Amino acid sequence: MSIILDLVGSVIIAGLLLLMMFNANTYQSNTRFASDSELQMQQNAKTLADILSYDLRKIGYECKTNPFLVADSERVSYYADMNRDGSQDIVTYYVSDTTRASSTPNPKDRVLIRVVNDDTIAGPSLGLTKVKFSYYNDVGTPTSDFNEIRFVKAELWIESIEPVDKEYLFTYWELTISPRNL
Amino acid sequence: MSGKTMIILALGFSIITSFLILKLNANSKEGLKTTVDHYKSIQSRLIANSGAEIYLEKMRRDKTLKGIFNNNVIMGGYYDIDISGPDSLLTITSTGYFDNTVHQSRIRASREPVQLPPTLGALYIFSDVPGLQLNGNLNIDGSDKNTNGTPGPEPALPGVALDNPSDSAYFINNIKPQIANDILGIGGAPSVYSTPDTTDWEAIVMNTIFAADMTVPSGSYSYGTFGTPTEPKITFMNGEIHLSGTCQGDGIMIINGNLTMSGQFTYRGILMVYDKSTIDCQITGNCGVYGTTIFVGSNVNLHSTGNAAFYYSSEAINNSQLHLKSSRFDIASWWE
Repeated sequence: MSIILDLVGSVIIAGLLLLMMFNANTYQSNTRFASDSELQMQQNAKTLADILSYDLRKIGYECKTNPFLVADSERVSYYADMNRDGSQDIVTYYVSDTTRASSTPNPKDRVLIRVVNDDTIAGPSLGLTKVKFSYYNDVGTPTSDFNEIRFVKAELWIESIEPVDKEYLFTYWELTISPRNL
Repeated sequence: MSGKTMIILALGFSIITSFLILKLNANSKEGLKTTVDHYKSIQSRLIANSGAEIYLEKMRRDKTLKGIFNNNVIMGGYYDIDISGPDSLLTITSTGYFDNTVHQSRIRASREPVQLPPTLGALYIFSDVPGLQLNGNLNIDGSDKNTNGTPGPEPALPGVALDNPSDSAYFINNIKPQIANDILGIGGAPSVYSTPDTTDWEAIVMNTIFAADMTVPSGSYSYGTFGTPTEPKITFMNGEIHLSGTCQGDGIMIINGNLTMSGQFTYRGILMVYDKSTIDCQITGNCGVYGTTIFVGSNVNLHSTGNAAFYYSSEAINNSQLHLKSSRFDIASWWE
């Protein structure tokens, strides 16, 4: 009888230990996934900010007149000699609708579209859900007058591509640039 | 449960936990690296741009500064500068280094020409209250003269120009006939006219002082050269100035204060005496100015006893315009 009790007790304890190990393993997997998603989102945000920062700093480069063609909250289009070949290029930035990134699990993400002349470059979504451009004059007051624009602010809302615990991680990045050629 | 089992279980938990911690640490490190890389690239860009701005400031003072200047330490990194091209088409390339990141900024600029004051006569007085005590053999001639004394190509200007008609009337009424006959220029002797003047003299003076090649403190100067015909200078003299002896110069001379000219002092270009309040100018000896002489102040007192000569010379003025360099740059483009 005591042998049977020992066996039952051992099985119960072994089962509990196995359950604990299983839970620990699950927790580890979830934590890793959340951590990986957060890192990826951070890297995506930096990549998007770098792309925008590089191009927006070129606004008006080698342009003798006002470089802006469009300057609204969702789209910016301007002249700049992007490849330094002596001819003006037209650079346009805007975000696509959500269908462009329908292959990702996140239903809200979009693609940042960069058009240089007629060449459209649209990479992966990188979790971008919204972009907002704002324009300011030399004393920092918002303006829509192309001739007064001295600062361009880009705000990026970025989410993780995959949900973590059924929620999407979120980050916000803003950059204010004073293009030197304005 | 045996001791062995406990050890195996404890080791198992430890391994799983350690693996998790290591993985999270790796992500944390990677996240930090992303941030640090971003910081480094910004820092190298700032270093490159700061380097360009520092050298533009140096070029403001040293108007012949060109060439390659490497390893300039700043902000925990360093930058290399390459300045090339003529003043009308300068290219400044600044390469900033920070840790293992590099950024290059490239600026196209041109040095703006010196903004000369308008030439309104051989002698121009802009004042609310002019005061005159003119004696001796004063020669003032608004006919264009080259610096060697031969006639110049430009039409004649007034010998003396003043900023309003009452001042010109006062001038004519307060000079001796002998001196009146020696004020030549447009319209014949005495060539004294008023001319409407909306010039912002303070702005012109401040711009010229900003571009000064030489800054001279108050004092007496009996020898020395303030520019030459081939290398004229913008000279700024501040305070009580006495120019005498064989002292001479070319270019633009701005005197902020009172002026005494004596001896053989000779100047070719634009001599401008400026003060917001009273200017006392004593002229003795055989001094001479080719170009134009301008007095701007609320009270201008002119005392002359020697054989001074003030000649309008387009050659001297044009030579100044041709050779003098300003300290302002027009930035045509900035790649960063």
